[in-house]
Amino acid sequence: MRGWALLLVGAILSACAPRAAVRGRVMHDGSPLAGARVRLEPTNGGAGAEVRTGPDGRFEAPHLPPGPYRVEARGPGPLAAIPGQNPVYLPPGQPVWIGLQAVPAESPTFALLADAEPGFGSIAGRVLHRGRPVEGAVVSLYADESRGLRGPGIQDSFPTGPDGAYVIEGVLAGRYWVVARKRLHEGGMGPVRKGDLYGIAPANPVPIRDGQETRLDIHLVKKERDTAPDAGSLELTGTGVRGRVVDPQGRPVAGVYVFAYRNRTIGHGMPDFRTLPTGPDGRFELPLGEGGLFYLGGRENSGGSPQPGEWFGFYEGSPDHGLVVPRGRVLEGVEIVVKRVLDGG
Amino acid sequence: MGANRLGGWEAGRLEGGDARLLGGWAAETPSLVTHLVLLMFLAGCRTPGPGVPPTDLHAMPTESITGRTEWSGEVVLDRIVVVRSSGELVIAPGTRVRFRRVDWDGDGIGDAEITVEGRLTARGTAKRPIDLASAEPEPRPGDWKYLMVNFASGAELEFVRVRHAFSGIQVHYSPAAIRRCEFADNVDGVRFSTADLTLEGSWIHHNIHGIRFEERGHPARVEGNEISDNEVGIFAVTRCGGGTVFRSNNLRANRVPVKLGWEQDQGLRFPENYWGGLSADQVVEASRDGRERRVGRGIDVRPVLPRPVPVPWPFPGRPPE
Repeated sequence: MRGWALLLVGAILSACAPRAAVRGRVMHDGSPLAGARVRLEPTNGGAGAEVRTGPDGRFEAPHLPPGPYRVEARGPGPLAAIPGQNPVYLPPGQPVWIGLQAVPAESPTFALLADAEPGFGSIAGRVLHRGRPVEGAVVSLYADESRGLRGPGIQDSFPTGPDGAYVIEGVLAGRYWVVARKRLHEGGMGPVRKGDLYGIAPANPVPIRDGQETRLDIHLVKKERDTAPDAGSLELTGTGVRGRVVDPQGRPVAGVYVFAYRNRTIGHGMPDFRTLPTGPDGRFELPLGEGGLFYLGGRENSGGSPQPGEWFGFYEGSPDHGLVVPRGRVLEGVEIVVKRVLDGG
Repeated sequence: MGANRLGGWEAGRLEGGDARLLGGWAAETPSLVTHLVLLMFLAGCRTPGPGVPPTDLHAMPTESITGRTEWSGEVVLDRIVVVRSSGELVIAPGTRVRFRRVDWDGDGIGDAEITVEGRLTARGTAKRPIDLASAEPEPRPGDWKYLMVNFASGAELEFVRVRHAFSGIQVHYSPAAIRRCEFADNVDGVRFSTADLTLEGSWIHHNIHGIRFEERGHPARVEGNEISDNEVGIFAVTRCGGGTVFRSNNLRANRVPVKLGWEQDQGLRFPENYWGGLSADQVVEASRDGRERRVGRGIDVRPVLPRPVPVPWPFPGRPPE
């Protein structure tokens, strides 16, 4: 009897725990895609969920445990949609909206290479958008998706020519995540922005075989709106920091991205979280997913390594610029002090 | 005269002579300077916070230097020291800094380090050099992590010997001048990226990489050095555009004279250096890329100096074999 009572209490508590939900829509060439299977798989274990899109391309998955989920849509037929940001953090409470764009789900083919160095292969193909070759796109290979397929790949192609063709030679045989991007903004680095094209190969991870060339076309979609990585909003995640970016004299600095790394080596590679640029008051709001230990700083540019003359600085509240943000808490008054790189004094 | 220890920290000031360690304590009478240093360190000491695993370096004992601090005598480190943006560390001639091998995060590399985000002045003399090395009885490369100068106001090193680190010195996004120093028995002797760096008159030998650099659009100057007996003489990792000047250096007896990283897609020139009697073609033949393949026309070392450049050994006695 006592056991049953405990089970009942457990069930009630479980039912009362805050749940996450997701809503979204899958589009293909500008039209809603019906009958696509949207798979949500929690990256920290547990059961996933699969739902189908309706005639209007919309889908909904309520009552999910909060946490990070890997999201993708497959079908109908040889179509697939992978979001530009994966995994997606689903916080408790308000549903998260996910817009997906389906492309042909190409499978790789393989051909023997004539002069391959033992242990190495290559990958080649075309980069396309709505069936047309994309000029100026860069294809990147990643060894894993643990860092969200951001930043430079372990190997990158040269920009594609007018025929959209790319090739990456001398790739150590293995399995790689393949991503293609065409950035329209100056510099060609940093996060994909509104209007840029990007494509994550639905066949990932793609094998590169010893002495063979993997052939794979990559289809791009257009980035519809700017978002900071994993940002959402503080209302959604309930975890993050708020504060100001100031210069050494304490004056607010505009146009600075505040970033957070989980790794202590700040400034090398892409951050785990990032804000949009600060306004004239220097204020920022940085949602931090499930919380934890983060190393914080701010910089003027959003891609590549810091450049001379650029605003750059750290959170100075601890010697290593690290800050523990407990889950469910928003830490206020965090100050990032920036100065110009290599500007003396 | 003085040396002391607080919670694993050993710091001290000796005016001549070595620190004597008794059961982990240096048995000397603390001086006023030592007391001030220790009080400052005690105030700046950080303990692990909740939610931080003990193997994370955020939880490793760390000391902050926020004002002007002078080290002299013998300083023994088993932790991270950060010279904050408002701080200045001055290391006096003859100072011995000894790093214990503390592998906090279990990656096989010692984690004791000095990071400079403010200012560092380490000016020894030929007869009283500053000496940074392992405290271990059988020292080896990687016993401690590095002397890192990162987003700093500046660093000046003269007559400094740096051994047994992962990186003897790393300079990033900072101005730095290194003259008549020695970097030996490290994994990387001198490593830099995006730095206003002058490196001259120094001996960089018996490291895995003598010089390891990423130029990233900001050239440095490496002139009049002895860069010898390393596994790799110069390792250009990536984004090197040929602006960094390597001139009048002796680059001899390095197994690989020049190595280009996987992502270094531009050829580089290293004119007017002495390559231990090798011709330009022989240097190219012996140079490699990241996969141990010949770099071929990826580098050009012409013209080659026919004779070694005089680079006096900065310290008393004979240079190491």
